[in-house]
Amino acid sequence: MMEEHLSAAQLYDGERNGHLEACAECGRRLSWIRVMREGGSDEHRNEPPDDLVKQVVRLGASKMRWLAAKIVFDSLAPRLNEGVRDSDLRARHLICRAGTLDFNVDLQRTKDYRFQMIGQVTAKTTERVDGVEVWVQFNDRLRTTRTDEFGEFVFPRLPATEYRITILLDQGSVMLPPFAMPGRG
Amino acid sequence: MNPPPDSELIDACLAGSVEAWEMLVRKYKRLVFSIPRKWRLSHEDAMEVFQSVWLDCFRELHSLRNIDRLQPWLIRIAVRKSHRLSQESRSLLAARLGTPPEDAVLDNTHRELIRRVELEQLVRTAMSQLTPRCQEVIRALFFEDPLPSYAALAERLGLSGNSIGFTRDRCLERLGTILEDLGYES
Ligand SMILES: [Zn+2]
Repeated sequence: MMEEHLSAAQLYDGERNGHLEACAECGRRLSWIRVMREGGSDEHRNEPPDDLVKQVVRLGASKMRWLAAKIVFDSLAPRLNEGVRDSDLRARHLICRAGTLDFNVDLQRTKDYRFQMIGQVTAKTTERVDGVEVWVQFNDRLRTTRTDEFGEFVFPRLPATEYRITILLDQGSVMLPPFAMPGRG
Repeated sequence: MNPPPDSELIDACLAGSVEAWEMLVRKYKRLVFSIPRKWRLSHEDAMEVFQSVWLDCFRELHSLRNIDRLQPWLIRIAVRKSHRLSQESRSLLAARLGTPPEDAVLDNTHRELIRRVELEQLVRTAMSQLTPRCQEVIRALFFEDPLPSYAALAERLGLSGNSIGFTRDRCLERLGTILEDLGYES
């Protein structure tokens, strides 16, 4: 090829000539300029809200100390052993513990064959349990709420499935063991 | 000027570095958020996908240590969640909520969107390897609407009217070279 390649600036400015049509290298460079032209002005809309980013960053707070809570009470544990039919179950009560914190979770079946989850975070020490972010993940969905002044939180109308609760405390994120309401939805 | 590779950041996260986790989130935040947007989800649903993807990522970090696995993994999970949400809102079948996650069945339009997502991230990576001045020039040339005049841009960068043209050409060339090095293919 005799002529010189076009510079990126020439391509940006829209210069076209016979060389460009025949040159694969210039064609490739023109393509990234086009891609950036098309998508570029949209980039600011790909920016998630800063509060949201901070929240996600807080998942890793407290030196990545991901506290795994353990179940210390489960209302279903004895009953299942007795052979209760799964689909008859209407409620489940769990207490999970991580360090000095307790997490009470109550699942109740509602009339529309869904579940309402009521929970409470309590601390044996002076840790703050009000205004704490609580996330519940099920299947590929996520719902979020905050605890009230008593450390309570509510998730209405959940489907019958497995739930993963994450609590974002100042001192670190706590993950409760996954649990479900057994039986059909 | 290059940021540490993902595998190093993940190792640092697992060793207890909050800063490393923040670097990962900031590196990929636009990539993750752009996916529900490309699937035309509402702002609220896009926020849900964003949170949920990062929660999964945090939980799965130990299994994502292998080099170069994080980005495709983030894309796959964000696509799965976005796809599901867009189908739910279309079908209004609340019953679908009860079904476990599975990878989306994608058509060519979706595959094109994913290619876009990858290209955009390649551009972000390339941008991060430019000098701050070049980053500003490129942002002005491609991301600003309306495009600033060269006089305005020169003033912003503290350059003379003569040298802005030279700086612009150099930054465009540099970006092109970095993109090629990173394996850009049209
Ligand atoms: Zn050429």
